[in-house]
Amino acid sequence: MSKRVVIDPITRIEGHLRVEVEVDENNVVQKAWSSSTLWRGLEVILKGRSPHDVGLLIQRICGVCTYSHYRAGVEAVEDALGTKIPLNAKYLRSLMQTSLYMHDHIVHFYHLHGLDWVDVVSALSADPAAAAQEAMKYTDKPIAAGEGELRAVQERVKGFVETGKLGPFANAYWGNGTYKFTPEQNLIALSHYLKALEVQRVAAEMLAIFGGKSPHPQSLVVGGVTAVRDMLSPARLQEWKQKHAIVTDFIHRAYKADIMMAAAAFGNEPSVLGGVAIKNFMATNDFVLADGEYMFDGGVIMNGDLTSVTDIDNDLIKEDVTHSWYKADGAQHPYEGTTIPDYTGFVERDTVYGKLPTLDGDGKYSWVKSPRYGDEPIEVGPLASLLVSYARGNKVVVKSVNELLEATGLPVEALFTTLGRTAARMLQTVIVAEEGLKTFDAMLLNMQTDESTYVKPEIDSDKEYQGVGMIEAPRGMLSHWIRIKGGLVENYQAVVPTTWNAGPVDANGKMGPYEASLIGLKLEDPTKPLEVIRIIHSFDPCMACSVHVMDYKGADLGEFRINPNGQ
Amino acid sequence: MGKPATHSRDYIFTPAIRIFHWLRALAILVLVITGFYISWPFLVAPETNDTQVQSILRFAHLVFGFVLTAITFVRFYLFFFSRNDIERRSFRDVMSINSWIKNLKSYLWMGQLHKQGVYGPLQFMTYVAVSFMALIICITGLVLYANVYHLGMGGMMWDISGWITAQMGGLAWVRIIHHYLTWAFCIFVVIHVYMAVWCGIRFKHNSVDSIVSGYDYHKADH
Amino acid sequence: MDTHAALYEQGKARLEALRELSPRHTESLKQKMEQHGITRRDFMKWSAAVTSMLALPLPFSTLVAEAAELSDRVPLIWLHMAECTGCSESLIRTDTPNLDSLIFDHISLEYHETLMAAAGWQAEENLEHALEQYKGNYLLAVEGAVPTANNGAFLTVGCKGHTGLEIMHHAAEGAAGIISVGTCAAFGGVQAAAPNPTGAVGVAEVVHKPVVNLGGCPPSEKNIVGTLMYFIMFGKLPALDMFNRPKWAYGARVHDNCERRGRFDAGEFVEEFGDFGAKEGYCLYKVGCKGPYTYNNCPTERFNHHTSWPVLAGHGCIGCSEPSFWDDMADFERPLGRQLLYGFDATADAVGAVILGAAAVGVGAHAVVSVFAKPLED
Repeated sequence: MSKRVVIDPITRIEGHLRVEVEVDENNVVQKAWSSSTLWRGLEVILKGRSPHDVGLLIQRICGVCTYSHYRAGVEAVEDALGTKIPLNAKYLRSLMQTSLYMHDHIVHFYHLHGLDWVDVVSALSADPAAAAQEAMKYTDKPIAAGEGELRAVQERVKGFVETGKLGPFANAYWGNGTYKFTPEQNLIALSHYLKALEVQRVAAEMLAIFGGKSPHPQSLVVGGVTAVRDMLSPARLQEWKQKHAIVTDFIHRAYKADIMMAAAAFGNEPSVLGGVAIKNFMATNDFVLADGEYMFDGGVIMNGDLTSVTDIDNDLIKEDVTHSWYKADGAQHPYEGTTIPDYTGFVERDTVYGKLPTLDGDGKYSWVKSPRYGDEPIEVGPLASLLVSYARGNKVVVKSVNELLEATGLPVEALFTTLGRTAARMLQTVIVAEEGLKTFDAMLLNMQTDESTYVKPEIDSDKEYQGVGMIEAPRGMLSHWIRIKGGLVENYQAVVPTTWNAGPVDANGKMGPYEASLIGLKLEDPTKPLEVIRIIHSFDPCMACSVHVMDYKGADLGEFRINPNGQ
Repeated sequence: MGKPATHSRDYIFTPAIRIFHWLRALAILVLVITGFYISWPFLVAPETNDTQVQSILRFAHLVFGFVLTAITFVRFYLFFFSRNDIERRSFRDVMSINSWIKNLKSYLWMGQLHKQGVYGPLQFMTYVAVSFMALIICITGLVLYANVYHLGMGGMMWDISGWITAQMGGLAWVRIIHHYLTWAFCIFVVIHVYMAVWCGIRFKHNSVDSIVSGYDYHKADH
Repeated sequence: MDTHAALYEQGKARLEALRELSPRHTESLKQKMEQHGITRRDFMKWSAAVTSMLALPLPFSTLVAEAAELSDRVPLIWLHMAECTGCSESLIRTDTPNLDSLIFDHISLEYHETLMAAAGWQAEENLEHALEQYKGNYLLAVEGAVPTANNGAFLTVGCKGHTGLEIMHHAAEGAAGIISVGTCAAFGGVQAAAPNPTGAVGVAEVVHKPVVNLGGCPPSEKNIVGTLMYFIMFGKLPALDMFNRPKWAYGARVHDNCERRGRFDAGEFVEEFGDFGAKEGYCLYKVGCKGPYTYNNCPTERFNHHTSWPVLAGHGCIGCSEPSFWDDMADFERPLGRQLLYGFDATADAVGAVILGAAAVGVGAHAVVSVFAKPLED
């Protein structure tokens, strides 16, 4: 007798995500459905606007991977117009990208994903002295993990817990058997959770130095970057470097160490050793180290075969809406696609929580479409980026990955797990932080002979343009596609990392990475599905990004026909 | 000595009307020029910033803005309450379809322009429209002023200005409507000057002069 | 008696009332601060800083301090509607040193999807529990616009599949105060820009209760936290401006306090990004700055621990704290008179010039015909 588990809202993510799984009598997941329950229609809104405004508006897709959509939008327009931006502008954009990654990955691991690994209640019974010793095992210079600091954290949280009013920590899955940290390890991680709240602020300030603010920086324009005064100010440059040093220090002495600790503690926990069922990966090259030289490589890996990487073929990207709340005749290439919302609502059925409205797995059940690469689902994200660079023989990445594997004594296959995905994100953060200084130095060198940060783009309103901005967002490969006509946006599409990962089943019955990753997962208690949430969080979902309109060619707003009762 | 007078000399514009007309003309000229500068600062700043170019031009815009506002209010008053009813008389033409037809025909080179008051019906309605435009541009101007200057007059007007700003959907809309009306004024001025000159020539009286001297000339036998 | 004195009395009364409530923590804030090595002096300095941020005279800082000590009794429920989580991201950047986490476990954060540990069914339980238990006493913060088209079907949250609209109605009922965090919750924001395909509106349009609007995309962390502190201190919503934004934060235009204002007055303008003027810090008006039409405290408070703000980074203000700025203030890199008119592919000035030209041609034609027209018979 199978049982349905409904998880909505999936918290500690960006946006609105619902996941449902069906478990058998042994509580093993047989089927899974992932659904986004919000649609905003930003691409519709972009139509008919000035291409200069695209970046600012489309940035509002997401305030977490803020900047990524801004940059992709601006670069899509630049690609369409053939605008070649100055080298300084490329460096500044790359430094902002570095700042974003350092912020985003830290916040994701500690504040969004962390509580899937760390049992806050367990930390209360830890011995701070033993915990301080434990911390020394994973780095010789732990941060915020001295005995005194740990005791202070413990007392602070204890006072909080004793009131019985846990605020944001209330009613979570504390005590679940898949929490594998010892109380001491939990205490270390909890201390870092609090420390990371401070550090992420500094990382956000790094982005604000060249971006004006964070979230939603405001210094990119079609043709370059406006922050020329910040670039020319020695005090500003050093401010960035100083903050970079503070955050990098934390990454080495806390983030990396905590992942090593997790690898040791969770190394035998089955629920985190699966979770990569789709072994197809895609990434694009990004982070400018010097003119034409990139930190990470691009390409596609199929079936987990690291010996063969191919270049991305844009023509193979298609989107399927069989199970999405849109109408279309078969899978469509982004440029040829249409989007007509077709909301069918939920189906009432028995669940482990009683009768509830649930996803209609046989019909349409998500606002996310299902992108496919040559009919195959693809995973994108830090893991994909590292694997592609690794397979390409990228020296820095190969060295980092090998060092990690050596230190943990794990084979390369260990990367193809939930734990591996989380570790890859950390590894990417380390590389981004360290290598980012190369970008910084290259900019200093270039600035001595060249102060330009902007070229004026030319738009001929009699011509039609078409272009794509393809970058790596913190959640994976992101591409924005634009067509410009009459000097205005003719149509706009964003193919977003979470769309690749979170899309529903396609016409061929193939599941996307989210759904596939859950099959075969055994739950300790189906009413408290921590294992599911941990796997989903390891992808770093960003739902607002994933839900969008691909193309509006030939479809006007009169075609919004949605059953008013949502049934 | 001399021929008998062939024309009568009629007093049509009171000194108040004439003075306000030219003051208003001056104000509009200055406001349009400074207004376009504020909208799109086309002058290149001098080497020294002791000369606060924008500041000075904005100040001129404010001074003449208040002049225009004052005149607009006084002219509304005068129209209704002046002892001389030569302006009000035109209202009769406005109500008469016949006058409208005659008026339009005369502009198309057919026949004389007959009118009860000093204005033809089309002319009268145009002036009414321009007066209301002036009213709106003054109000939006005052609202913009009150959003910038918070003491004295700005402070007194703040509550009502804040309310108007909100009703108009924010300061951007106040500003953009102010801007659109500027263009309406420019277009009016061109047509107005032409029509004044043309009417003087066509109908052989001196409408351009009359707004200076106050007198118009009509054939004595008419 | 001036209004400050009256406000002070009101604040005192409010704190008395709060003191009557049974404490949520067994330890007082004072004890907790001692544990964390935060001295009374540090605390009072922070209080003074918050007081000046709220544009209140210094004597209020004792009230701020008292309020902070008591504020753990104010439950906060934070809802996510049609949004991008940017406002939550702004919130977590709260910058007063060493105190962000103190505020974090200090206000009783009952529900916040981005930060809470619980998920799914259990998260929904937390929400229902808080709405019931703290009925009439909780502060409701909302992030994101409410989609209303098709009965709100464009957004559902929770296992029970309620629409955002239903949740909003329900949560607003028992709220002691409602704060719309960000332009989306306040005025509809980006999803409400033309043609607004999901019928997104601001919270105030669906709840029929007073709502404090914190404009901004996102509002700075100071504007969010400062407004929460005001409510905690005085038990009421702060004085509001024409769009129900707190006057302490939105009382002056960006232009009024802009660091480049001197350049504006001098008539020194950036003509093109990256040019000489851009390097010198000239005024950004001609490259589209909307600071003159935008009420916010960005130039004085800046963002991210006072690190920067868009104008410092060389880009004009886009007016993000004003209603429907996505439509009214675009094109963002041109001044208002030079925007392309929607559906026209021309600026207002171009249209005006064309009409003026047409008028001149008409006048000219009339004049030419007049030369050949039959003279009037006397």
